[in-house]
Amino acid sequence: MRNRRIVLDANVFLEIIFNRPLQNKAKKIFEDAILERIQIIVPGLFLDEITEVFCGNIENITDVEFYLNYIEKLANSGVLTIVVPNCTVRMKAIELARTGNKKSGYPELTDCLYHALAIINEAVFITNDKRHIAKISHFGHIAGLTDYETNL
Amino acid sequence: MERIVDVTSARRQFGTILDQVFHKGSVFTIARKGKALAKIVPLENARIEESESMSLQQKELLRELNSLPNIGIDKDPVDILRFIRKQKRIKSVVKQHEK
Repeated sequence: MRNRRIVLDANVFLEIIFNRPLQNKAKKIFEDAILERIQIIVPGLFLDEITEVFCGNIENITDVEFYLNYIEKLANSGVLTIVVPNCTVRMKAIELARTGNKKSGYPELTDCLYHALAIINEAVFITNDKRHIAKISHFGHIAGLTDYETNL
Repeated sequence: MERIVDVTSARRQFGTILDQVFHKGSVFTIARKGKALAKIVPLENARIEESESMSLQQKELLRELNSLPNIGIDKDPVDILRFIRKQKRIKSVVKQHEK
């Protein structure tokens, strides 16, 4: 039974690909989704951002194709739900992006689109970007990748 | 060994039950008014059961997840994405000012 919804930041998937310290946490999220313990939702820009990072940072085009095919398989098998954010989500994202101040900085609209998707879908946005969490944690529905399984 | 215990006993002896599950591999069924409600099993048993009930597609996706080629780079993907996102915002702000 899928009892938890999670919106995943692109940086979580990249943690696995780039052999980063939190790759096991990131893998656990995908394992849980494959085993139907959780449901992962991502906005369409998840794929665009990952493609953009691959384009600029991975030389081996075969690897790039392998990763993108894997994401497509996850989507086709229902492990990953890719959605186009609707008007409600976009308006919430704008609201989030307009919070903050000059001193602490304003959250990026892209981060806010992920976060808004989580808020509107009663999900939790999981990101490895601690700066975004610090700026906007008061809206809730957000957790750091390090906290996956401990605080959720 | 599998045993049935009622809710009250399970609550009173929870620590002992956990010890037996962990050290002896015992399985306890918790019942209320004779009706089985839940089971406490060793974690390893649960994993094996889960693995046996997995579909071929799930096994394949897990296998591929664990064999994705890793690419070590010096940059933090969080920083790469932050840079990309920030650039997009700067462009939109500049456009607004130009109007």
